[in-house]
Amino acid sequence: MKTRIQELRKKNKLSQEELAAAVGVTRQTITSLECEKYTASLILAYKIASYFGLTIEQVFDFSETEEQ
Amino acid sequence: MEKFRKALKNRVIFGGIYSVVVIAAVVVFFCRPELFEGRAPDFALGFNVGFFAGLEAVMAFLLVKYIAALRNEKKFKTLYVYENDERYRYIQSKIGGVGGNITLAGLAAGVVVSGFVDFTVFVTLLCTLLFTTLVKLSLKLYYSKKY
Repeated sequence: MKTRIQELRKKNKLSQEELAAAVGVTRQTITSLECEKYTASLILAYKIASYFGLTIEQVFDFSETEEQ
Repeated sequence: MEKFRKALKNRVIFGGIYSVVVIAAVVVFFCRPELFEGRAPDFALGFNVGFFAGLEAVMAFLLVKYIAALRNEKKFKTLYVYENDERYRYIQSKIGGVGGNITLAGLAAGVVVSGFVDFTVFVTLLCTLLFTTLVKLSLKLYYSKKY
């Protein structure tokens, strides 16, 4: 799933570690999300979007997401 | 988080009890070997001792990790995030699901092949296959009702 996490993170000068701590996941999860290897759950998507003050759709692109 | 702290305390208690029992059993094995002689083949006894000693080493490592986490808030939070990380849980469930299927397929192949070689092995593998299938089906039923 395409996300804007990396872009938003860099814009806010945040490290993966800092974002991970803020949303309660490991750094590896943030890496996997940025590399489009893992699809976030609704709760995690909400937490990340809320952290940046955006809606889920503004951070995550669900249009090309396949069922896992 | 308090629920996780309680779970960690329980793990430490049960891990501690397990460790005491296993260490006592290993001590008895080495101090009174005559109690075990002739009860099982040497290879099986050696395997059991090695297996439980290995398990005990893992348990000791985990106990140290859990106790350290319970005493240090930073370590506790790191462990909490690690164990409750959704990607980690997703990977664990994938391992359980896919691993279970591979095990079943391997056992089924083993049952077919062993049927031509040794009847005892055939029955043992068949029982293992049936038990594993039963566990898988029970879990499927349980989780289908739960969710």
